[in-house]
Amino acid sequence: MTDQELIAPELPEQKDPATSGLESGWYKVAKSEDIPLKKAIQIDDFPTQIVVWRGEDAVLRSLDLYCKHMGASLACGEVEENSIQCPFHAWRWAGDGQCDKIPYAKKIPAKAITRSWEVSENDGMIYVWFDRDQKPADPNGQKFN
Amino acid sequence: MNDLPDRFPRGWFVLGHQRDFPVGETKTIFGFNNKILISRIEDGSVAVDVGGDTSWPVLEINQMVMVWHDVEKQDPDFTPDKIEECYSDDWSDYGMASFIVKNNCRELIDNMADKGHFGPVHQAPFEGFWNEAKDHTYTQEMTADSPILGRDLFSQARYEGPAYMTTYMSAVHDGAKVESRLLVSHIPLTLTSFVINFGVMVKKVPGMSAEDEAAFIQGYVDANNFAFGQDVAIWENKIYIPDPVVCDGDGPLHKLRKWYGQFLVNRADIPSGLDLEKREF
Ligand code: FES
Ligand SMILES: [Fe+2]
Repeated sequence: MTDQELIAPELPEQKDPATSGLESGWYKVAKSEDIPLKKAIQIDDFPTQIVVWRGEDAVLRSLDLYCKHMGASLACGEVEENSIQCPFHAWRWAGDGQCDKIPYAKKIPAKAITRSWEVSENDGMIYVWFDRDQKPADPNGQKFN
Repeated sequence: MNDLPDRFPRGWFVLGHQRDFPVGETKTIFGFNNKILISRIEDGSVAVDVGGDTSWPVLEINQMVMVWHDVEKQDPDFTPDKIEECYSDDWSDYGMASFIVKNNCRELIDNMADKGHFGPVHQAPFEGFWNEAKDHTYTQEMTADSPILGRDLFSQARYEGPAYMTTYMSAVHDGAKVESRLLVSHIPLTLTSFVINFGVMVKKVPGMSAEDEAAFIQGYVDANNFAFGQDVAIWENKIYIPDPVVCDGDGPLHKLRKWYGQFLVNRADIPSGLDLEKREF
């Protein structure tokens, strides 16, 4: 039996990026050295919560943080090949937002898609593209630190 | 953005093991956004005071002291079944443990239909998996093989209401069959936190000393604590997806959540068709 005070922690959430007031551009989220090969990190300082990981091909990829299956944090998962594997039921998500593997399913459901974010890396910095209306990334777009 | 339930569910909630409430003592715990005082009075009965309200029904069954929570303040419409093992000398008493989870208590319930998490989270790929819902009960049966919880595992877990779950389990440890019973109960502290109180009892092994038996039960408590720790790491780092995309290998998650939903609405608003015939998934 635990005698515990009443605590009311705030729960994690996946913010709606459409409500962000930020302008279009590349937002610095981390330094290159923060994400070694086959590692994933969670970014909260962005219009929504995201996971950014480096595949075994050294390329960076990014998705909404919380898994579209039952909501676990993908940043707590493992990088497998170039995809990120969710820690809860091991659904594997590719950088384009498609679920590319479910170890216990015969078929991957057509709706198993999540939101992906474009990442660029230069001069040791990692940037993620944000545009409220989801316009595609402009390689020469403005950079924000 | 958080679509939390507007209330705590209706049902029986375990306050603790009977032995924790000796005659003449008053214990304080927290739950339902309140301070709860629990006293066993001279005649042996238990009185419960939830934030000054003493009208909550109390029940003692299966070694537990329980309280009935209902925002509509109506009488209980079910009672948990008596478990013979809780009253048998062939079985130990429950060894208890508890811990806090920072999320809404509904997170715990998904586990019943969540066939897919046993492998990745508990390293325990199951073999068979059945679910059944009937009135206020929801039952899961499972066969599995677990390095943590035992080889050749069979378990039958049943919720009676939203917060009282008991399991019968048999497994083979070091070549010997071990039968155990698990209790998983919880009390919501607030809408974003709850306390899990769980208990483990084992069938006594003839010839085993009291000391060895206690150590054996503690081993089981520790194993379950470890398994819960694996779940909690996930539960505290997730969002609630109200309408999840499921795959052909998933259990009847939507059915289970509908069943649980009956405890979160007024009785007059409970929809029909919540039962689920026993079926393998
Ligand atoms: S929550 Fe991610 S795989 Fe189920
Ligand atoms: Fe679990």
